[in-house]
Amino acid sequence: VRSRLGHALRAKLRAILRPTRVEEDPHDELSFHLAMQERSNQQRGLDPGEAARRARVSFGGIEAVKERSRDARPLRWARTLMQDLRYAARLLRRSPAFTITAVLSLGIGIGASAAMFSLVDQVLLRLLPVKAAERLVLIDWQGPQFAAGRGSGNLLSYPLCRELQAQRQFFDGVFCRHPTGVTLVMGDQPQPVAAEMVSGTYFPVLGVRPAFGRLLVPSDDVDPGAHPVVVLSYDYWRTQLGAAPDVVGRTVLVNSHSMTVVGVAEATFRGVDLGEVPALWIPATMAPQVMLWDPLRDRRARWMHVFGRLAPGITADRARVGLQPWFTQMLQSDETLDGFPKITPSQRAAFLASTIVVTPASQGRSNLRKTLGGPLWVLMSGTLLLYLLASANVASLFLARATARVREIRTRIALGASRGRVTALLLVDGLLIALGGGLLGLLMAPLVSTVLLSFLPRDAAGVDLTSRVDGRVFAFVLLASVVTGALCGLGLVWQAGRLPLMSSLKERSGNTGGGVRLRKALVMGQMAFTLILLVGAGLFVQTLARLHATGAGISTTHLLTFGINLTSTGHPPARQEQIGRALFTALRELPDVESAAISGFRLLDGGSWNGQMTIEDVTRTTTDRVVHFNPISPGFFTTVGARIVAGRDFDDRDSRALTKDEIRSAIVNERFARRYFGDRNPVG
Amino acid sequence: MSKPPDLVQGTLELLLLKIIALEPQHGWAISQRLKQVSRDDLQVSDGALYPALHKLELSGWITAEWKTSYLGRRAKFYTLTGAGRQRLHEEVDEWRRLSSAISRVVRLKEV
Repeated sequence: VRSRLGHALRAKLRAILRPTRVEEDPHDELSFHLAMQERSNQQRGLDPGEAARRARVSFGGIEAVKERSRDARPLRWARTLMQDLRYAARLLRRSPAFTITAVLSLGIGIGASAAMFSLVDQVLLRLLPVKAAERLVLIDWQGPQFAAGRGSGNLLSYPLCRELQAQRQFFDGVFCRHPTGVTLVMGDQPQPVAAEMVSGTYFPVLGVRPAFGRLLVPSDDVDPGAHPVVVLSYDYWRTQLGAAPDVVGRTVLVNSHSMTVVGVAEATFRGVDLGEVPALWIPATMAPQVMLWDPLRDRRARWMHVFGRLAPGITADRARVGLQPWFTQMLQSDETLDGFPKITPSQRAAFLASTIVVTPASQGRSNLRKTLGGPLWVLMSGTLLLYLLASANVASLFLARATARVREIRTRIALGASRGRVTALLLVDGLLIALGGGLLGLLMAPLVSTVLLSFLPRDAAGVDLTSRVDGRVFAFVLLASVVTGALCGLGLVWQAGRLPLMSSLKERSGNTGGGVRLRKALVMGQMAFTLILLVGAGLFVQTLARLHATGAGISTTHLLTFGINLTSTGHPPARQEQIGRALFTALRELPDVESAAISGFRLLDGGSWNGQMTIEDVTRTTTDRVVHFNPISPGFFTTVGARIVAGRDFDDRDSRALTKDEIRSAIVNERFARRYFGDRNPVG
Repeated sequence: MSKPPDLVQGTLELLLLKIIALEPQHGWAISQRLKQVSRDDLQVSDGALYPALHKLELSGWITAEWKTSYLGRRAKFYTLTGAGRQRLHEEVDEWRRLSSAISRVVRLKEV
């Protein structure tokens, strides 16, 4: 069967690739036949003229036979297409100004759209490369939390993750993870890298396989501090370790805690957070050693994202409804725990009415997606608008040119070309231009994406978005070009079809009014689009300019900030405080420094420690909003140039070690004072 | 491709394959052979012959080659391929099956 197929294929290829040879073939063959027939007729005694005539009669129309031979050949359309392409190419070569304008317009439009699509695709559309990603859900709660937390958004505690693992009727598996930054020492250089603290179920539930070695399993996640093992990501192993073959079994220092590498995860797996590829995975039970913070037994410490894989036949909604009784019960028991904050009855009601939230997480979880989602769609729409503009531009160029071609088209129809053939001819014309534009767009797309990517915050550990053109982007470009080409061509066909046949044949001058209305509409649409885009861009620039003018709200001239991370270098808290104090003193004594201060979170970095706050005033109340805290040293406000409206700045009285019953002091902002103290003076 | 009206549908292909199977032939010889063997009972118009041959060629059952004929003129000779031979077997079997079925029907006696 294969050889037969191969034979047929070769014959067809020959027919397409070498049309001239096959075209001439039957003619020679037929004239040979005629000659032979003529000869045989002569031998039967006919005179030469009659012999030739009879031969022709018995044969029938030579041209008809040739045509039937051609029709019998498969892929006739392909040969016609080649012809049309050659014709269209000749035509385009003859009007280079038109061709260049059209291809450039489309190229810019397609290039920009493809670049945007590539980002939208990577950020918003692609699924996690894991087993049955569509069954993954993110489990979260909604309601006031009154608990200590780290990180932001969608967080639950480690014990809760454990309890959810037991909910077998809803989930095939549940895992949790905490993204963090650690200092990794794998040779002599300490290196800050992104890491994930994960439950032992993480890899099994995601269905990720090791590239080699082994991954973390549930038995790596049993006793706090007892599992000093890590798994490296393929990316890290390849880019930072030069794909060292002997990496398994090596001892590494994670925040100065010594741990053993047991394996490397498969290449396609890059964590569950989009765009942030962790360098290594660490068992969650190692949190006390790695993070110097032990949230493992605290059911209300919010620090982990919990994901579940839905059991067969269970929807996210059913899981949510089914889990709610268990969750409410947990809230009630939480209330009786030690250290639960004092809250008002209405706050209590809100707390007990908290709901569990189960959202599909087939694409993983992403802060990037959350923050970029809106702007990306807006940009994408803007770009598509731009593309539409470019297309309209080209379409109107085509129409203008069509005016010149109407006579040619009419002549073709008058000479017996079928409507289908003429339509195909015009479509091919449009497609050729559009594909040229698409090609240019493909070349431009990576450049545009690179520029776009350079606007993204770079501090996030290993943001993993590429400007590479992949299969999906290519498909997008192809689709865009074909659609545009077809539309341009169809516009032509439509216009040509509207003209009465005779008038255009008779008319010597090419002035035909048929497409004018369409062209006017196109031009009007273009003007409207351009105006919208211009106004939008103007507003955007103005907003940017205003943000620049406003600044940070403090004077930043002569202000220098830097950060150090003592936790990730493994210094215990007491030592960290010593270092901090020493640094602070040293800085203040520098002759070039006017004032210096230390804060727990860097200025304008977005980080904070947050939670509710209990105010013991006339009555005891807990704030109804999350309050952001930042521990600071004396002189902080002087240094950043903020004014203190009432009371005093911290001084050395506030920074000594306290005995048990003394009260620490705090400074609040005006907003806080107004909200919780009203007109009373909060100082004291 | 339109079929010659004087032939049972599909049989032209069988006839051509069979004749070419005997020895490589050019078109004119094939048409002569056909008339001669069938004692002029099977009339294939010369016009229908060539499209049929070209179709067989494109299907990969026969190949064509330009050679000098015995009269010194160049002619296109068709040769059966392996695939064509297999196809011929299939068509012959099919023909036997069909014609014997028809014969059985024709031989039925009225009662």
